[in-house]
This record gives sequence, structure tokens and C-alpha cells, in this order.
Amino acid sequence: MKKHNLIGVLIISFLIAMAIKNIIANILTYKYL
Amino acid sequence: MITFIEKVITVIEAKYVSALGWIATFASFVIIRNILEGISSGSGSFLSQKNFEFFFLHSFTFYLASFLGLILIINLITKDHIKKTILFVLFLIPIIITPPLADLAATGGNQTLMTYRQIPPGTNNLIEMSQYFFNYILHGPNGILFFGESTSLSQVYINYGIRIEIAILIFILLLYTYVKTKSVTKLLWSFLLLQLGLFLMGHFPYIINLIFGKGSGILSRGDTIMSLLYLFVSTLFAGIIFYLYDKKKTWSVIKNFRITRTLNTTILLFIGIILGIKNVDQYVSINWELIFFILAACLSNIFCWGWGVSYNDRKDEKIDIISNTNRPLPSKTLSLEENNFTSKLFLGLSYLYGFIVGYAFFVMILIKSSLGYLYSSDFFHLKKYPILSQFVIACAYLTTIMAGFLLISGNLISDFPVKLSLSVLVLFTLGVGFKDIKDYQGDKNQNIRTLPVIFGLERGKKIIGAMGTLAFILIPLIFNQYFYLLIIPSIICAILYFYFTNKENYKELPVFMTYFLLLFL
Repeated sequence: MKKHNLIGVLIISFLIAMAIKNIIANILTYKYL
Repeated sequence: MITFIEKVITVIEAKYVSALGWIATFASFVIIRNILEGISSGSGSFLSQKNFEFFFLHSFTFYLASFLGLILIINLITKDHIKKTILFVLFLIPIIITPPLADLAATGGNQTLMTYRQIPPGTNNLIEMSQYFFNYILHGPNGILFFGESTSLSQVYINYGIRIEIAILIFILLLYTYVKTKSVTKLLWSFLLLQLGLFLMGHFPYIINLIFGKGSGILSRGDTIMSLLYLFVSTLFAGIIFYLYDKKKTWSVIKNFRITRTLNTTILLFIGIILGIKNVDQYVSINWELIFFILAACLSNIFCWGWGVSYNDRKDEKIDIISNTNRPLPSKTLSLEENNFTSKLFLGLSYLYGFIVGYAFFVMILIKSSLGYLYSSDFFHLKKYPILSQFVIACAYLTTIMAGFLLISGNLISDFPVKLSLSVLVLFTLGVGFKDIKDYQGDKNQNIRTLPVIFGLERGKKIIGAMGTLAFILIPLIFNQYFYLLIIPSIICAILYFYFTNKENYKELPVFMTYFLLLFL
């Protein structure tokens, strides 16, 4: 695996974390239905 | 973790699926999704017959356009061989059954709405649209800063299941692009392109309404126009995917349509359309809706022709080895199976486009393809008999004109001018004989009794030339109200026709066509 600099690692973690956050956030919107 | 994902991807990419298998798998999941959506949306009318357009056309074409677009986006980022991307996207297709299931789970069976997102009022031009898109990436239901709050941008009161589906999809695809490319910039690109694609598909009818206005018919004939537009997009995407899959094969298939013949059948269709517009009493307004339908009719007609070509290629392989060596089958560019697939694909597309365009049009395309089948298939093989084979082709030309005529709503088949139908039959029966000249060697070898085979090439050419000349001379006599307008050009064309058929062949089609257009001006 290629070595990433710090910013790269941060962006990747951020995007993946955001994707997981969105799954949970959307599941939790059931209360608006 | 990453090695595990890599293993999963390798397993998926090692699988084999035929193109028809891909379509069948896709269709199965769409059907399951539609049934489940019928239950979760809770409206009894969903599965009623009048909603069949949504069930069979709108939803199918929507998912097709979406997933073909997804293949292109992913492939643009990963730069893999497209075969791998196609397999991976097929693996993702089951995700479309999650929204209704999630809806059912969340509401316990109460009805929930799945719908397109509306563009907020006041978004009219490209700049405002980009601002809205930017806000959508930030605060939309799959935005960077979305935390489950209910705003006009997140619209959390609709599409519960769809939002979860898309969130999962984005997660999987981000992981996939990262594992595939290990590049941060590519990851950012894939995120942006995915958001753009999802944005476009989610707002599709409203975007179309914005671009084409009320004339697009999107408000009055929603499902029909939507399926048409999605089918246009899907056809384009599929074309690009085939091209990326194998450039050489795709080119050989496209070249095999032969531009002169394709143009010929399209012009015949347009003659029908012009006749149809003239025949309708009320004023036919040219709006986007009509243009979409005419474009779809052209494609339906061209794909029907494409099917005829590839079907005939399969049946005539032995002839073409001798007289048309550059065609896909004899030149071994396409295998027999691939030819089988393209012919099925073209026929399917032709019927699908035709069906969306209209019932009467569809029936005409059905007749045309039946004639094509009887012409080439083994049992009756109408191609074998001189004059009769030309008559069958003339019939196919007539149905093409009639299809164009019936495309304009309000026209009945009984309105079609009898004189015109008879003259089309007679003139084309006389006039299309030239097609047998170039196949002479192959036909002779396979004992197909065309005129040049029966009478020998030299005499056959003269007979065909004479018949065509007769057809051209007959034109001003039949349409005698334009006698003085037609007599000179028709004599010129008659002479040219005789000259071309007896010298080098196959150059006469442009003459033929420019000529026939003149008739109706």
C-alpha cells in the first residue's frame, strides 16, 4: 500500500466517516415520517 | 479490512455473466423492487393496469439509466477494464430493493411516499442551479453537514428508504474507489461525480421541465416522456459502454448499419410523418414532446433495421463469405453468439422504443420485423424467390411509411391514401432489384434464385435496370397532378439508375432518395 501524507489520510477518514454518519442520520429520520 | 474488501472485489470480478444474463438479473431485481414498492407505498392503484407504464417502462428505464451511468462514473475514476466495473455494478443492483423494505420497517406498513425531489422555486438558470447543487452537497440528505435535521433541503419527510439506500451506496462506492485506486484525489472526484449523478437522477423531471419548458410534455404525459428520455440516455450510455468494452467490435456493428440504407429507411419514415401531419385536420404544433417522439420513432425504426441486418447476416453467413467479406461475421470480428446478442438487443430496443411511441406505431414495427423474419428465416426464406423478395421489401417500406403516418395522433390506418400504398408497392417492387447485384457470386453459390442468378449477371443487370427505369418513368404518370414537375427529374434518374446498375452498383441510393423526397415537396 502506498504511503499517504497526513492530509490524505484525513480526507479519506473524513469521507468514510461522513458516509457512515449519513447512513445513521438517515435511519434516524424515521421520526419525521 | 482493506485486504478483505480486495478479496471480495476479486471474487466478484472473476464471475462470468453474459450480456443477456446481466439484463435478466437487472430486470429481476427491478420487478421485485416494484412489487415491494407497491406494497410499501400502500396505494392500491400502484399495481392496477393503468399504472403499467410506471411499472414496466418508467421504473425499468430509470434504473437502467442510473446503473449504466454508475458504470461510466466508476469506470472513469478507476480506469479498469469496463468488464470489471460492469460486474461490480451488477453486484450492487440488489440495493434497489432496500428502500421499500426500510420504509416498511420504519412505518410498520403505513404508506410512504417515494418521489422525485423538487427543485426549489427561484432556481432558473445554471448559476442558481449550481448554487443549489452546492447547498445540496452540504445540507442535502446525503450532504457533508447533514445530521438528520428537517429542512427544505434535506426533505426528510419523503423518500425515507431511498435516502438510506443512497447513503449505503455512497459508502460502498467510496470504499470501492479507495481500494481500487488508493488515491485521495480520485476519491474526492468519485464523491463529487456520485453526488452530481444522484442529484441529476433525483431531480430529473424538474430539470427537464426547466430545460425544455412546458412543451416537453413532462407535466401531461409524465411516465411516457420520462421513460423515453431515460431510454435515450440508456441507449447512449450503453453505446459508450459497448465501445469501451470492445472498440473494434462496436465499430464493425455500427458500420454494418450502412449509412445509405439507414438513411433510406429514416427518410421513408419521415415521408410518413409529413403525410401524417398533412392529413390531420387540426394544426400540429411542433413542440419538444413531438420531437422526442419522432426521435424515438427513428431509433425504433433504425434498430428494427439493425435487427434485420444482423439476423440476415447470420442466415446469409455463407453468402457473405463470398460476396461481403468485410461484414462482422465473415470477417470474424463478431462470433455467432455475439451476433445473436446484437440482433436480440436491437429487436428488443426497437420494440421498446416503438411501444413507448404508440400502440399503432408499435404494431407497424411488429409487422415490419415479421416481414424481415420471413424474408431471411430458413423455412419460407422469401429471399430465395425473385420478384416476391422484392415485393416483401416493398411491403416493409410501406409499413415504414405507414408507421410514420400513424405516429401523428389522430390518424387512422383507413386514412392512409390507397393510391400511395399501391404505388409504393409497385414502384419499390420494381425498384429494389439492384440489391441482388452485389450478392451475385454468393447467391449463385448458395443456389438463391435471384434475377442475376437466373439470367446471368449481364442480362440480370439489364433486367433489373429496365425494371427500375420503368419504376422511375411510372412516378410522374401515377402522381399526374405533378406531372410537369416530375417528368424531367424522373427521366434523368431513370437514365442514371440504368447506368449505375449496369456499371458499378450501389451508388444509386442517394439519387433514389433525393428523388423520392422531391415527390412530396
